[in-house]
Amino acid sequence: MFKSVGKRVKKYDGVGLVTGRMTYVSDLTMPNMLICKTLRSPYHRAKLNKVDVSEALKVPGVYAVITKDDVPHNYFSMVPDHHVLAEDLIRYKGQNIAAVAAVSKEAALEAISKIKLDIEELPYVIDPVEACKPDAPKVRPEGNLHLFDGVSEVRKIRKGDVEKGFAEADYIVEGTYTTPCQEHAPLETCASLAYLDEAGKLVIHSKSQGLYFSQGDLANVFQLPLNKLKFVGGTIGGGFGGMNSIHTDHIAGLLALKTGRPVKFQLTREEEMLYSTIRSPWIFKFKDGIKKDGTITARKIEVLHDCGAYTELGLYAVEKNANMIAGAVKVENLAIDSKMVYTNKMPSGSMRGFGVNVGQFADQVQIDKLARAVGMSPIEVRLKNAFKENDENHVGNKLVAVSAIETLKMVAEMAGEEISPEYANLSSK
Amino acid sequence: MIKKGRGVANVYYPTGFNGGGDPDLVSLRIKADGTIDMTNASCEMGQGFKTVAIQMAAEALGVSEELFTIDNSNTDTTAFSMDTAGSRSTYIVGLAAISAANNLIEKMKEFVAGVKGCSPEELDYKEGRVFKKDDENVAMTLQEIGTASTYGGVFIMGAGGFLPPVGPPRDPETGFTVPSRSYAWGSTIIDVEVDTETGVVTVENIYNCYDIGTVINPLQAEGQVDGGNVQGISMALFEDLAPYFPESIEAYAADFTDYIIPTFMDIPKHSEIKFYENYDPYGPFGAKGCGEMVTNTQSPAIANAVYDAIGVYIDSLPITPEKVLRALDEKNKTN
Repeated sequence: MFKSVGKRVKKYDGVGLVTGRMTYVSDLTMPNMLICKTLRSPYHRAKLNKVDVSEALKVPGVYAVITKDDVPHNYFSMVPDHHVLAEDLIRYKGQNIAAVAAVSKEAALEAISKIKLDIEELPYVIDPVEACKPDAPKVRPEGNLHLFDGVSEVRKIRKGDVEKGFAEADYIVEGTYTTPCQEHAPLETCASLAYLDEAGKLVIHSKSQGLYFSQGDLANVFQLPLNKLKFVGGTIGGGFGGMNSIHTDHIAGLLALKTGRPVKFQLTREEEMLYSTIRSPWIFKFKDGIKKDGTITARKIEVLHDCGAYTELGLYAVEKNANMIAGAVKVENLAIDSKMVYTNKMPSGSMRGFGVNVGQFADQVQIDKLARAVGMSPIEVRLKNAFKENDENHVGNKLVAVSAIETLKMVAEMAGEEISPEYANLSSK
Repeated sequence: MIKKGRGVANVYYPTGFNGGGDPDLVSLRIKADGTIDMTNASCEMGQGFKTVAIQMAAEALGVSEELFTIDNSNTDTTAFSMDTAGSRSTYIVGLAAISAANNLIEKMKEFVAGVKGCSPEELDYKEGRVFKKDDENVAMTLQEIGTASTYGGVFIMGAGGFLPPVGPPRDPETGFTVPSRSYAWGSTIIDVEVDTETGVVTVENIYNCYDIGTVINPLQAEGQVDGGNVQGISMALFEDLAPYFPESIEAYAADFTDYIIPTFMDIPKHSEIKFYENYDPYGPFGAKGCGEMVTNTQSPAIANAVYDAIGVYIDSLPITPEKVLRALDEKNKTN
């Protein structure tokens, strides 16, 4: 028996949080602090020839204006292909091109308005299906489809023989499912306060949900050793996955290094919604075979993930999605083909359940259709096919402490659903 | 007309980073009065990380959680955390906390052995006390150890870590790999009402049964599920940043006036949560990850309930009144 584990211990910092005693990054100010604003791309896709900041630098109160040329290493993120400040090819509307640090928001915005862009709008693609076509505008110079393991446009899972499985089936059920662009909607928008401490160390008060994750990433951008770069934070006003991606820390840090003064960069709600990472769209196509008795004989699943303009966490989401998409049911014959395509939109971030919950929407609606096709109750078709203890999941991973059947039976009881005797006695063991 | 329907969903969810290899470290430092400073840089974003981290360290040391403070605030002095993502913190920080607690106990035994003139092997630890196996009266409490070590110039800090095993490389032909050793499981039943005149879907009842292994803090786990329900309903019925996608990506919403997320008025009238605590052999005290799975069952259960109510599936999220009415029109045409 446990003493502390399992107890309804009151939240450690609960009273302080609900009575406003917590100081969030958004609340912070420092003496001599500068305000950062960025110039963002007005186009979804464009060729950036030149950024002229000379007039912006003349605005009173402006301490620095930076472009890609001021970034020691202009690549960041989990898969480090994202540019801190735009290079020649702009890939999405709202992409950061230049950043200003000034004594006030007004001075910063005035300087932003004085930056002159030599920029040519280019044809763009936002539809992931269109983006897969050979003649689509190239989001990345190397092509729109991601190459898995460096070679394959398709990320595969294969088990048994799906055609044999379809031949054994009494019914074939097909379905196509889509999920939209979704915003994380945290209460606190992304914010950073960066400054140099008394020993010259760059300190960044960050809204990151992974302080060391961001530190490791940005040490490369700043080209600083880890003892010259300190992240401070850890308690934030909501993340939901959005704060696994860096939105302000890189630019605030660069401007603090450039000016030697504290720099605050906080996204407006509009910037957070329109230009930060999102849960980006997915398309799922299912073809399933099922016998009259409810046995699933085969599943063939095609997945297309719209990754947006940069990889960010999109690739990770595709990998995780593929492992889980065939559901918590036994399937002898399985074929999954996943693709990831780049488009001219804000990059694919992580969002609570990411990769998996969109797939589980598709899988679980599809399973319902299977139940209707054979005239079984949706609960019983799930019970019949459920994974049990020591089963292997769809990627050969042996499962322990399995509870598909037990949670289904318990929730049925809670909701007053009758389960027929044939299924009521099933167990995972 | 108001039509009622019921839908079900059943899912499982891996704990930790896909493919493992995501370590965390924990330090436990004993102070002069026997209280303990715990450090680990996982993020507190409302989910209750600090509370469960302390509970697991307290359990590992057999002492009250009241003895602890926790610092997760920076990368200079706080022990490493890979990230706060992938439903990993309770599980991996918990295992790192157990490792740090065992290390602290070893260090306290070494210190007490020096004070009492015996070998560490002759000592045992239980519930905040180091004592001689053959004579329990020869003992020091945490408080005595804290005072004697601090003012005796001996730094006692337990340090530990945990690395989830790294899965084998994914086979490019079969896709076989090991995403995780531990999986949480969950089932949800949802009752909806669909207004066939307006197309509005209202969630009436939610029943959730989740297996997140041993529940470390039921109060907070229920809070996670409540939040999961709200976000799940939001994904199912409301959220779409660019409703005209894929024709257009122009967002119609730049604030919460236009980007609708649920308020208290949208919380279901009736919500029941039960945990089926299936002990995980790899997790800390049998725990599995919780955070993400509890927002995954709602959207399919709602879509299935809508079908049960009106006989059409909405296969494209979110299930807006417009989509419901168009689907009903289509169904009436074909009938």
